[in-house]
Amino acid sequence: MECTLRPYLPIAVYGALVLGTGFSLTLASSIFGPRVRRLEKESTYECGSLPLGSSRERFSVKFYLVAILFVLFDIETVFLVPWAVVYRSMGLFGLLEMLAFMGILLLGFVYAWKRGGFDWE
Amino acid sequence: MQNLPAILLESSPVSLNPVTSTDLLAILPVLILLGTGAVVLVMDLFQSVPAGEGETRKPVLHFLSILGAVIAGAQICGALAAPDTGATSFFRDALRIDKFSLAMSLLIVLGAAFSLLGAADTLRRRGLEHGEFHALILFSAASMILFTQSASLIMAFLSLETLSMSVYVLTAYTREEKRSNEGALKYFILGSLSTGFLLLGLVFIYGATRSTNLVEIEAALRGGGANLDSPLLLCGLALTLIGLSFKIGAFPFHSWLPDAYEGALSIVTGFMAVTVKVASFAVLLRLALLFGSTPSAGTIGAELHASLTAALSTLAVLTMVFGNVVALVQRSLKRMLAYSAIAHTGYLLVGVITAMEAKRSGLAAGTGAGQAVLFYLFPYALMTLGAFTCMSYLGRGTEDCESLESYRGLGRQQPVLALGILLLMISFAGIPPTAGFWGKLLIFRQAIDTGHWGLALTGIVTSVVSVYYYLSVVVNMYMQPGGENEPLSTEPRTCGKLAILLTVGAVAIVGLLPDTFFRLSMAYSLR
Repeated sequence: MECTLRPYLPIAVYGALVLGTGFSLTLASSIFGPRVRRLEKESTYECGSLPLGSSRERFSVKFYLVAILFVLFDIETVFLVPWAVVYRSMGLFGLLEMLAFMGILLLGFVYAWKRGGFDWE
Repeated sequence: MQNLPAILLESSPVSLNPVTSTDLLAILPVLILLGTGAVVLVMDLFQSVPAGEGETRKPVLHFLSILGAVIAGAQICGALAAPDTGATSFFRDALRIDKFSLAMSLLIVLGAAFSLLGAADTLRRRGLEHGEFHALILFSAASMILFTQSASLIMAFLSLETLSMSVYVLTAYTREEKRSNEGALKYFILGSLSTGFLLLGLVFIYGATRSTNLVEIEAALRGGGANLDSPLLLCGLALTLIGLSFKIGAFPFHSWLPDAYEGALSIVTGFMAVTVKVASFAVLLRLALLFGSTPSAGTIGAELHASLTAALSTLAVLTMVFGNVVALVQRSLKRMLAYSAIAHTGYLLVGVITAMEAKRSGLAAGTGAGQAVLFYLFPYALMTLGAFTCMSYLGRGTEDCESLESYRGLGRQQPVLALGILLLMISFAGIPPTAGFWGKLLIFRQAIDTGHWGLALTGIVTSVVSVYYYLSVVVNMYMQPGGENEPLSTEPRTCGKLAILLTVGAVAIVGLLPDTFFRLSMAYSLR
């Protein structure tokens, strides 16, 4: 077992360092830092707009739809960029594969559009 | 470093053209299903809806999707009828197509086709005719075929996820209904949990055998215990078994099943009960035979065999007893059939155990293992599809009538429908000249032949118990006076009539000619 775990030792050391730094800095600031208790200090944002209410309330399912549609185009970009990098060496085959992939995504795009995925109301 | 798997150390050259035309030709049925699904989905977007009362408003939708399933089925039939050339690998050993996986694929396509055929009337009656329904059925059938044919653990996991996603959405298809949402949510959460178990199990198996490919894993097992980590392998197998047990609804992992089956549309319930079970049992049987029956140089083979037999036997006994006993007290036909689906999972698990035993003790030349499971699944698929199609016609307006009392007087009101249900129920119960009887006979016979007396006895006793609840449906239909709550059933139209007639007729034919189908299941069993 010792043999298999040996390569992971740097990770353990790194983890211990990260945790130690974080904890010791927080601890130091809570011991040595000055305490100021005023209304502005206690509010959610010290500067900026005042919060209107609790953030733990129900919000519209439409936001999830936006998030899902974002993922659709996000994934497209994630695959387009590496393809663009190796475009020349991939040649025609790469182009066709990419067109097929984008065709499938386009299908999803058309579907979302026609079903009213982009209408907010 | 030397303990890392070889694949991480050597940089293998990636060829630019990994997919050949033979690969694509091999998965032609899958491509047909996916293509039809996409076409139906997009076509529905551009279809204007004429507001015709009582007419099927989108006949093209039904026609196209059924046509796609039939063509895919014909394709698989053609491949089945071709001379046996053994298993062939495609897509760099990601898929492995043999007669067994083709036969299972045919059952899946059959389930999809009959569900689409039976769905036309229900969807029209409830105003739910959307292309999404057909597309989801076709997409999930396509990924189920890939699941049965997968020869690598990664492919199996991916296709299982794709099929599960489609089925979760199908369960929630009637989204206005509270219990439909409830069932789908339970199915989704527990299904995701089981996915976690399965994935961890597959990772452990990979860690123990250093391969994700089933053929290479078999070679590693044959090679003996030297480089196999046996506790890791056992852990992985146990977790994988738990993951698959969720999908087939075996006893301690069944809790999602009654709610999901009750919440979904009857047609969707039939589809789930047939196809998900067929696909999962195909993979379970393959894995059980791989790990439980491969002769190995060291003790690992015997160890795996003993543990797998013990685990599967426990699951089988618990599932048979639980499913049948709880089905006894159900007042709703849909819930009762859900628990009976659990019970049938138990019988099928006995089939898996006997297949493992038979393969281990050596097969005669030219025969395979698992013919009992195959022979059982065919009539089970037909009976389940038929029963749930019949059920989808019993209801008032948009509401289904599910309590057993509401079927009183159905024998007079709808003699043909009632006769169909009668035949399906006695076949489910396994009363002699029916298809269900032959399936059970073969499984219990093989259990006795391989020395599993306890399993056979449990199966027989619980089948006797099951006769009570199956026949109580018949008693309610024919022998109880119809009270004031007369069942208002809707008349099946052409599609629905065809679906009921074909399934009931096929169950009758299998019951009368079991020899033919037994020979077929022998020919298509797992080599």
